[in-house]
Amino acid sequence: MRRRSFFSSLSSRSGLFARRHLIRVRSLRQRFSRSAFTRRAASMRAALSAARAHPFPRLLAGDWLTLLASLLLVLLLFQTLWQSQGASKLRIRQGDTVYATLSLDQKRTLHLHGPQGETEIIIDHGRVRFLRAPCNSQYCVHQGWLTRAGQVAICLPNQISLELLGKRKSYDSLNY
Amino acid sequence: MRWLARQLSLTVLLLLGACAGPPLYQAQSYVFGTLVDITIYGAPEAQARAAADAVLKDFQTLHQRLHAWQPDSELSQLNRALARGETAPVEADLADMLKEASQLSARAGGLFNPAIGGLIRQWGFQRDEYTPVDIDPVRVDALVAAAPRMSDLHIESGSIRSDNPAVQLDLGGYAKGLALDRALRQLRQAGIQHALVNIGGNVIALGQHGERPWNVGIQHPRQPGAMATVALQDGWAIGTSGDYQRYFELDGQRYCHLIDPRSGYPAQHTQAVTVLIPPGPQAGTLSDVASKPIFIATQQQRAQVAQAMQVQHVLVVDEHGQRFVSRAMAARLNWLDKHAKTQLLF
Amino acid sequence: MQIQTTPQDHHIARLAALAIGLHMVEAILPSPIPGVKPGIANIVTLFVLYRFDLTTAAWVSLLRVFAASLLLGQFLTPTFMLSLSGALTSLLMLVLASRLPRRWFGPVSLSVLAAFAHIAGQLLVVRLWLIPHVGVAYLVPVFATAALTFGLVNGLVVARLLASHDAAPRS
Repeated sequence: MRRRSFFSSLSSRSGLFARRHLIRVRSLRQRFSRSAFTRRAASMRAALSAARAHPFPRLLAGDWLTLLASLLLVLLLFQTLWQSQGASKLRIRQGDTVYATLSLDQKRTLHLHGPQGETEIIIDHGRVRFLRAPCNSQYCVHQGWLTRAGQVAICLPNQISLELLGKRKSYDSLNY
Repeated sequence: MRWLARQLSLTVLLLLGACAGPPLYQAQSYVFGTLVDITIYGAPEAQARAAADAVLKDFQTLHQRLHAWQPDSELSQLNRALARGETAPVEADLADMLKEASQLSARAGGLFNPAIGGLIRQWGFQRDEYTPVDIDPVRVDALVAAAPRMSDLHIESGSIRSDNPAVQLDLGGYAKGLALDRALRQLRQAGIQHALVNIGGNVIALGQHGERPWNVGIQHPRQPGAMATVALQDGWAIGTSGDYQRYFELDGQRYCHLIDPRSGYPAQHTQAVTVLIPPGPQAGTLSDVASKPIFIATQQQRAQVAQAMQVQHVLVVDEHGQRFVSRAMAARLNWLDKHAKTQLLF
Repeated sequence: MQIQTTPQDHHIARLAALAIGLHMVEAILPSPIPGVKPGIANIVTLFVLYRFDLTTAAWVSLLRVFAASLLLGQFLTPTFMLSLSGALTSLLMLVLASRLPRRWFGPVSLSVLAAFAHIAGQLLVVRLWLIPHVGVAYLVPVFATAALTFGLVNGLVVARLLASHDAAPRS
């Protein structure tokens, strides 16, 4: 009679593959017999000699393919994610003066009053945007999130500008 | 692993960074209906502040005199007189400006035309804010048919008159560039050696930023942030005309402030044109003026128009976002987006 | 009530115990970069996947995460959530990767793919829950490099173990 395994009885047997490699359930008597122990010792010796014969396991074609693809992925990640300079601070200007220079590393909503009314700005852990503005054009709101040092959003009618500052700005001024 | 550790600590430093910088003084103000930014490098703060304030004050004065829709401005008074067919008195410096604008208009084959104030008003761009207007084809056609041209103006010692009452002056594509040239002269006189002046995106460089030249980003016409950067050497100016600065949208169509004087309608086949102008007394002016006719011209005409404007450095982004650069411009641009595909303009 | 167990259960339990041990050794050893670990316990998961089946591998992996965190007193802490999310996504990846033709794709492929899934799951939790900051993006390449390196090394170890295992005469 075959006893159901505790693990397999708790879960559905997927057995997607490697079924043929399933270790046969050996009987207890077999396992604790004297011959079983000698066989074990022999198997360990065999394993050691096999390891000496093939110190490095051979990679299959697909393995090389996987490694190559992974390497490309890593390089791509470095190129895309480390290329742009991260911004650490936000400078808000209102009219001719600097209203505030704030850390970007926070969640905060600001309400500023300009010539046209109230503008709402939201800082959200590393990014910032105009959330609401009293102007008709809404260009500033449509700019969306700013994330990289050097990015600028301006609300001309309400005379409020946002600029992201970083250690290394990729340019001194923006031509638009 | 050590390499990784070093890279990581570098990243952390970059993230934490942004402290003690070089001696930079920055002044910002809203003039010409746009943001003006003056950055001065390497001068004592008091001197820098005084120089920047003087320049901003000059801008403010110029803006008030050349304002196209404030009824009491010098230009508005002149426009009313021209519409009545009268001969009007004009200040000497304004007369010089109008002469220069006429020459540039002629060079651009009329594609730069400061006499079409009537059309600009019709399209609603003579306002502080742009809201969709009801398009009136009959009125637009009438304004085009009236054919206001700078050559209709007759400027003689202290007075001005027009053969064509439809001439309505709007120096919107000229004043900011002129202001750049004036700012450069003023800053030099004030003993400033290194500065960068930005009027609503048009930039002129004086000296450099420490050991390196001033670096200017070129705005991506459809994304926040720059698409390329360019080193702006001493005396060089850069200007962009884009359909993304002043426009309104109506029924899914974008109508920008750059109006084709031939059709009377906003040009819709271009997203942005950037020109780079070498040092000279007119560098700022040309950086403002020269991009407009190239923006309005058809793709086939662009090279010819650029040559007529004596501009070698041109970058065009067309309606599909495709980028065209002149050979000279290609050598100056650093694309931030490395996969950028560009085609040769001329 | 008495639970009926089989020798197979004992074998799996032994392997899980080994995985827990490796997990804890790694937890105690200092890492040059916080958060970057070789993940040697995954060697056991992959070995079990090859010698038993996916279900068993899932058991070993999840038992390890729960037991090790209980033993280290980290149960339900952020560290545990990171372990769990990493284990779950890498198991999910193994479900998919195990469908790859075995003639072409060996343990190294599975190990590397699982390692990438592991960091992807962890970084997702970090970004969404622990550090909701866009700056997390800067860490992605670092962790990806670690995933590739340790995925390769662990995969080679598994391949080696399997080879020695195969060489041993079967009873």
